[in-house]
Amino acid sequence: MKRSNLPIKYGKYPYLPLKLPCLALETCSFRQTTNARVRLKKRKDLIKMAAIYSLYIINKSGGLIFYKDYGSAGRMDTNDTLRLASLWHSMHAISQQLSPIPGCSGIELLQADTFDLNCFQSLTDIVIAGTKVFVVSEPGTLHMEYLLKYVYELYTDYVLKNPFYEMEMPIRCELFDINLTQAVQKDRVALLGR
Amino acid sequence: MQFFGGSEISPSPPQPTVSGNNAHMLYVFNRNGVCLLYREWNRPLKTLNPQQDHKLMFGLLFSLKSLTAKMDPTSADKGNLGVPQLPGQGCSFHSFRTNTYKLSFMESPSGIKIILVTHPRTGDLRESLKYIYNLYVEYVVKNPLYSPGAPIKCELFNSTLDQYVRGLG
Repeated sequence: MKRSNLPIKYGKYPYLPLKLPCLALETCSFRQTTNARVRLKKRKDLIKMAAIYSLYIINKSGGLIFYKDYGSAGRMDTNDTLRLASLWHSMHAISQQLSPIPGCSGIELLQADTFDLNCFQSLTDIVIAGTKVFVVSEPGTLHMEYLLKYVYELYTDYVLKNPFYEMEMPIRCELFDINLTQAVQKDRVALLGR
Repeated sequence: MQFFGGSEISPSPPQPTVSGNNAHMLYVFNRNGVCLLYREWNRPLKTLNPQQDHKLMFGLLFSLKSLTAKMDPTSADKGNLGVPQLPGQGCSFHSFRTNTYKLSFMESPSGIKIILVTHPRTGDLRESLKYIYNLYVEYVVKNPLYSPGAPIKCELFNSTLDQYVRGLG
């Protein structure tokens, strides 16, 4: 490569920008730096660790009207979430048909290998299927039924009572979003359970 | 047609047994969706005929498995929704609960599915299902008169299973 091809800013110290961040680490010993790195990684894991992975609200015909992700691995696109929501709607309906005892109102808790799915169905319109709220959380997360009831309360207060909201349509209400974010915070979940 | 068993391999009719336990039904499916065994102990509500009921149950499990595999929040690469997966591949589930029953599910590496439907407040039944699978291996697979894929008609298996399920807490 000809010298003239190099960018001007690398003219004298070609690798300086790459080396700079290492300077601080070079001053301490290798062991210390690895420890620091491990500690930093742990802290990041702690931040990443959320009890709740995602939250869905589906209308009575199985259409997704609200979806929020709280840090699950691998992004799902909108089409995937729509498909999952309608699949859940039909699985919920089939589970009622398979009940050995009359009066079944569908799956409340699904325990998968890597997550728990808690589902709450609204009590109105239950003859066919009601609005369903479901949350995907870490296995063994407690008090999710309280959170779901609270989310449903928020839905009735901030969405259904909003005069600009059209029934069965996707939810776009700022106040609902704000209150939901507050509710989902981890300590709040524990608090609601008491 | 692999997934829904044809009419010529229909499962044996359920034999009603008297028991005071909290188990409702038990299903055993093979990997092609043929119902190898269906037992019921306490089932007041029957909405469908047995064959449709088995198909619906297998369909529910199949779809729930593809749902959990796609929903798995811990893996980044999940593939597309509805792609059939081998046993043990992808995120599966072990139970779900409604207000009237709890369904526990186990799939062996060879694709045998064991489903036990019990009272909703029953605890974790994963070990019990493993034990039932062991019974299946001991009394059915090791029976020289049993041909794989056919409905199970082993007297000894049925009586041992009855005894075990009756003793479940």
